Amino acid sequence: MSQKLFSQKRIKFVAILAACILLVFFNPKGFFNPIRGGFLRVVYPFQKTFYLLSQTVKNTADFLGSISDLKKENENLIRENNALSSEIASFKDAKNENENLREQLNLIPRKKFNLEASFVIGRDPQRSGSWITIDKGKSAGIEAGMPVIVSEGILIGKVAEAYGNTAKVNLLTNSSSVINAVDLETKAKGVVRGEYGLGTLLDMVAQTDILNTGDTIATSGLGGDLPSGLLIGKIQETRATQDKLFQQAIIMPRVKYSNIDVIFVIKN
Amino acid sequence: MSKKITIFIVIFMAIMLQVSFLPNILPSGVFPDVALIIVIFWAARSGFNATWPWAILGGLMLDFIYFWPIGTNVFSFVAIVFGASYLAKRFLVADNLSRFFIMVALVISGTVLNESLTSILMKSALGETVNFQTLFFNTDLLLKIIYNLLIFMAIYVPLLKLEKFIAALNLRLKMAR
Repeated sequence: MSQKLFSQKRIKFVAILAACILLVFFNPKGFFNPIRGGFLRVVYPFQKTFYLLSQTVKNTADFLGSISDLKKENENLIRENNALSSEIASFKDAKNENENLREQLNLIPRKKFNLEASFVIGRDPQRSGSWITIDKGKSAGIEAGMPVIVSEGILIGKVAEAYGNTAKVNLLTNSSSVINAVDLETKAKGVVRGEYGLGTLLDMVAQTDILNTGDTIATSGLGGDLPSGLLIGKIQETRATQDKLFQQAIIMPRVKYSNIDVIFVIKN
Repeated sequence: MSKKITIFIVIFMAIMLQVSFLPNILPSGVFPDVALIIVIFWAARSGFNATWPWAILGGLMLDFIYFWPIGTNVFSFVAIVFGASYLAKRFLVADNLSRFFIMVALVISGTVLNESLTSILMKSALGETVNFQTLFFNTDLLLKIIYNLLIFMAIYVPLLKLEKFIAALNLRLKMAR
């Protein structure tokens, strides 16, 4: 009986599980980072190849799916082209107005950023994804703490760990993400926190400040780790904290994080 | 040696597929566990003693690539390999179709176990609370099971062929000696 209970197989099994528990709960922070860095360096070309392959497959599937719509789309495009030509004139005015407003709000013009474009080559496997892996790292001048945006100047997170050719970016939804933010319409200030991968929350807003549903939230630049004026999202819902000392607002992100393919790291 | 290299390549490619290929193809945000399915297959066919080193290797690679605490996926994979080999031995049948369905059941239970174990371990390690209600009753888990079954059905025959290929390779090497 005891021989069966303590078979070599079971002892091996229990020993491996015990070693894993010790590793998970008692390994010092960053202890395995050099090994992880080396491993990521080795797998980087494979990750990139598989990513590019997936893009080709995705594009081909999209193209095949859209063939029947091409004729209709062509007609629409001609119509749209005519409408857009007339809209260009009005956009020139809007551009000037936008630049004036940015000046008034003390926002950095987007073209002043030193951006490093990068592809997303890996994601958090859990649906409530709270991080992504990008195909640029220390060799491209990327360091931990650098803000990460998408094409429209929308902040999506910060670089958490940088390795040779890859870097891990913690998204705003990550539970460790805390960013100083401001309501662009009412100037109410607070911090945007990640909600365990489920969303983002504007917190610590004074009760005297005003928060309205639909207001735009951007980085405030306080603390100096992030430039001001990077868009975060819009207020979806406001509420008071349980102790009634502060206000909170649920932020609706401007982009769907699971669909992001290309990002820009702000290096300066 | 060539058997080990072949298995290593298969597991490595499965991980690359899982981490960098499928997430860009599937818009749902839920991705299949290709490496886990392969490990379950081998555990059911070859037993615990032949599979545990590969479970450790696969789990370790996933822990590195997912930035999870080292040991999380290893723990889950080894536990699943142990369970799969134990159950496969008890429900050993000769009929190919029945064997396939037993494997399907193992993939389903392995998926649920993997999701639970990794979530519990990771959240506990990070000091977050584990919500058991959302852990088991969510559409993501159901979607993951469906994806895993689809992947399993797609790779079942190639894996059987690979097994035969490895066996033939071993035989040829033995004869050459």
